[in-house]
Amino acid sequence: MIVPALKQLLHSALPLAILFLVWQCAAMLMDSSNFPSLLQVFASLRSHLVDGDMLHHLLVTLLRVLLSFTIAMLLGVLIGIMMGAFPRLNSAGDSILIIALNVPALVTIMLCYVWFGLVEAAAIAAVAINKIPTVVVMVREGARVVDQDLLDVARVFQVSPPRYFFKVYLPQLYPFIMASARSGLSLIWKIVLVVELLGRSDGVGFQLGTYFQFFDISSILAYTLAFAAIILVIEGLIMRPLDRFIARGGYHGQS
Amino acid sequence: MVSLDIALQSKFYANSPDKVLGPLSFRVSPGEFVALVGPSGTGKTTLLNMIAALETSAPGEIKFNGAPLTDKPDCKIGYIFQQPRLMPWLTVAENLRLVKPVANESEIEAILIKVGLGGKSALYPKHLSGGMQRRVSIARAFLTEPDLLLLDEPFVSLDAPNADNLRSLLSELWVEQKSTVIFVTHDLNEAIQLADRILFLSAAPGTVILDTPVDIARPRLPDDNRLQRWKSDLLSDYAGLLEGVLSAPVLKSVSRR
Repeated sequence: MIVPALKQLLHSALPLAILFLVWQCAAMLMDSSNFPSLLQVFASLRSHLVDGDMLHHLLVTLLRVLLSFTIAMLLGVLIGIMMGAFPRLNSAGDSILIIALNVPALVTIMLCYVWFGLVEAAAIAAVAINKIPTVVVMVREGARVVDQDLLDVARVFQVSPPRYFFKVYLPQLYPFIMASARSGLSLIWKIVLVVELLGRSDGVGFQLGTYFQFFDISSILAYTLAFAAIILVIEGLIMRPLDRFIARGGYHGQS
Repeated sequence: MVSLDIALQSKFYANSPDKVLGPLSFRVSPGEFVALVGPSGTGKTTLLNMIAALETSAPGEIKFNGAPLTDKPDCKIGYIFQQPRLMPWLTVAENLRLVKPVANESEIEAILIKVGLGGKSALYPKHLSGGMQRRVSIARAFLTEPDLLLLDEPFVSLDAPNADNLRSLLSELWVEQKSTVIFVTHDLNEAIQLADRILFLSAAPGTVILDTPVDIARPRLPDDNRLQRWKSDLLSDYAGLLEGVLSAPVLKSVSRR
């Protein structure tokens, strides 16, 4: 039992260890302040954690990520289901969706700040608006290939609407929702950093902007590592258990 | 139990000029077990789906207890499909509880024991063989104690012993609950073994070419000589019946006693 777990850990950790080793060697060879070694980055990380206000900025960014992620997923899933289920709505909304997919994130952020002011709501809205179209596209594809045979079972046996939705319809979309959640989380935290860089006075993005002005590459990488670690924890504690839940019964949908 | 009156003029699929069914009319009495036999493509499954309100029908073409069918029929319908159609993400018990949320543990276990799946309630469908999945689909249909039970070739592609077991099981549960049954099959032996009455459909568009009671006393076992004799008499009287063609003029409600 312990040996396979150790093997699994080694399997996951080995590529990361190799990357860190290459990084350390390259930094030592280059010997430049623009390319700090791993040890320098960890030292910076430690000093920001212990002496600085890194935790505060990490939490602020995390909160923005979670809020905008939740809003984007809820609205994206709802619109995706409706577009997948109703062909007329799909054809009416398709061109708007294509435009929304192709508007640069930076433009949305700027417009939100200009129209709504440099406020928290504008920042969250800008991030959510950027993510919603990609969720819609993925969920719409799932809703288009929902297994009608299974829906017919629920209709014949007169399953109540809530049970129909939550026990028969929605589980077929879980793989699509999971895929969009996974890609969404990584996309959203990157957009949040831009939003913070452009119009907030706290958060990881704001701090990165500040350290960029001082060419403090160690601090930039320390913040990046810290937030990437948080995303890894979210992946391990939330995404993977969700994956296992969705894969129960061996169902992986049609994707 | 429910009576069923069918009076279809015609049935076309959307965007297709080809008629699938009709004209077609027959009546099924409450508690009667009727088999529909006919070649492939005669619209048997379409007819079942129309009765189950999964396919559209014109107002008044289908009546339950004399009342026209609506989108949400007043009676309880059970449907055993060609494929078991279990929700892969639900356990056996959850699949059963989906159609009857008020069913308690003992009720679920009781029906599972009846279909030979006692102790399997926590398993997911992927852990069951094809035959076991079909048993679950039979359990699901009977758990609701349906007024009308529709079966669409439920034993096709099963090995002979498994199919025989499931036929016996179906027969036992029907005797116990006395639902009105419409059973679609290609297999005349199966129809003779199970049904009170057999309706033979023509090649497409499907229409009833022969309506005959199966006047053989129950129980009927698969290797029963009476069934084989009845079958050979029928086929010698009506050559081409299984291909959906009658050489003699159309005969309806023929008693073969």
